[in-house]
Amino acid sequence: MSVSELSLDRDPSSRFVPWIVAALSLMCAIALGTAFALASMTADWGRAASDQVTLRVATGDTDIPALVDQVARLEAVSRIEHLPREQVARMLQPWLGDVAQVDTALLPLPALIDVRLKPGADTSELRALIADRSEITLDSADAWLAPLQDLAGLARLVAWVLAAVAVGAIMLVTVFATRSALVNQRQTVDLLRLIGAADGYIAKRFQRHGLRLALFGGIAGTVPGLIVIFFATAAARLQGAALLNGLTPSLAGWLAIAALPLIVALVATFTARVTVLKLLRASW
Amino acid sequence: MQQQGTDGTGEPLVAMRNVGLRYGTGPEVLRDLDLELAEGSFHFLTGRSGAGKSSLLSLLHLSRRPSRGLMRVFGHDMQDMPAREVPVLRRRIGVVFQDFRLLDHLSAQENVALPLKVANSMDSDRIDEIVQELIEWVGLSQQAQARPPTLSGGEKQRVAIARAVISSPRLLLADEPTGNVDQEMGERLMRLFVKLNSLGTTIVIATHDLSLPGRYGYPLLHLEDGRLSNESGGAA
Ligand SMILES: Nc1ncnc2c1ncn2[C@@H]1O[C@H](COP(=O)(O)OP(=O)(O)OP(=O)(O)O)[C@@H](O)[C@H]1O
Ligand SMILES: [Mg+2]
Repeated sequence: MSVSELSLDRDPSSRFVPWIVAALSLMCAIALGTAFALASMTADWGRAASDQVTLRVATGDTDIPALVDQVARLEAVSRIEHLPREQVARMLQPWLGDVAQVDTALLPLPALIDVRLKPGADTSELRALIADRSEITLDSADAWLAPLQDLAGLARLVAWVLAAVAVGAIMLVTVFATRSALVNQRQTVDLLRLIGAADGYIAKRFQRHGLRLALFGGIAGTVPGLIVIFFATAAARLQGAALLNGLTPSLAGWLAIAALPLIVALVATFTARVTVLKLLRASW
Repeated sequence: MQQQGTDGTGEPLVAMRNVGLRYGTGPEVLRDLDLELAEGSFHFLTGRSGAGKSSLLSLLHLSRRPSRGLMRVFGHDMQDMPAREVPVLRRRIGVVFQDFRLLDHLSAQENVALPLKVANSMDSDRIDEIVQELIEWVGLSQQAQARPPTLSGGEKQRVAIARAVISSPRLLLADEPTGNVDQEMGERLMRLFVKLNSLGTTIVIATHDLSLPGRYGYPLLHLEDGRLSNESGGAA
């Protein structure tokens, strides 16, 4: 005899709940996808940029090979490369057009020296070396990347807040749906209590109901969410600058988003239980 | 037939001292109740319509707390009874409600099985067995699968009675249990109560059929103006 004493499946007030949960899950999935994608993108920036600096030497009579030698001997430096003049000229291509047509020898191009630092090393040695040589400038990605990092961090925070708001709204929806189901089933619930059902027994029925609705809604929202994240980040990487190369959630991130229906179902189960127990306790 | 028995401690099954009950902020519908139900006793509860019979039964089956006064049930003070322990006490009390309170979306048989199901202490095969037996006993084998809305008043009453006795309660409360059945079925149901009482169940039957106490000779609890007056009904 496995019939349910409570006919919750036929409860009209819960018909829309899965779709509301689905919409909120979609929002939550996209927010999480954004947060995770930004996290791996900024991690990527950090890896690529923090150990790489460029020395820019204004045209003049600096002895470049001697400078390269000097820098290479520094403790912090792992690799050094003097960029060939043609390569530097090519960087100007966006402004000058096809450099092959231009006599680059006439251009006052600076000399560029790429310096790769040992992991964890900082630029203080290097800065000391060039401190009194005004023709040499040290370009570090950190300088212009820092505000972008801050911006990405802010965007991540916003994404997390949105995800949390979505989960909070799912809890609220569950509370309302559970309350109205309980009101609709009041007579049955009262009778069950009178013949000796413990509050936990009744709560379990509502829990299962909440779990089923939320699991369905969670899946219905998360699957399109995953698809949106996949295509949106792929599109951004394709047409965006190299800066966006890392814009995709990590494997752990993808898995966490995929687990969203379970998390939503657990949240709804727990919320339904607490709601029912609280309401039942208020009336002996 | 009535035993003046008590449980081991000599304490009555139910005791009320100076109990009153009001609904919300209304006037007291029950007041100054002093009542003892000895284990194994059988009482009729009478009184005019609106005298408070159903209200008194609702106190006895713990669906309401008294607004004032002391009440002990099965040796527990109800005043400081934690809510989470109430269900266990309720399982030892069988109730036949005046309006039956059957669940319309369940079959007769499923309705009867409910108390055992919510008690969570028996496997479903055993429950089915007991239910079959009891359904047969109240003469509803043909209607076991029917839903309450398709049953006659008397049939519903018998489902309600079967549900009240299925968990072998120590205390059985019945509100007008013979109100909807013909004389013959009424007698049959009364014989069922007498039988259960002889097996040790304490019974209170609310009725405004004053011929019942006369015929069965059990003591009478008479409600008037929300107060109890003990009268002995016939040859006790
Ligand atoms: N839930 C309730 N809320 C407010 N008042 C109630 C409630 N139930 C009963 N009453 C009032 O309490 C009084 C006693 O009612 P109760 O149902 O106990 O009488 P009764 O003796 O069982 O009557 P009957 O023989 O008609 O069944 C009545 O005046 C009734 O109006
Ligand atoms: Mg009544």
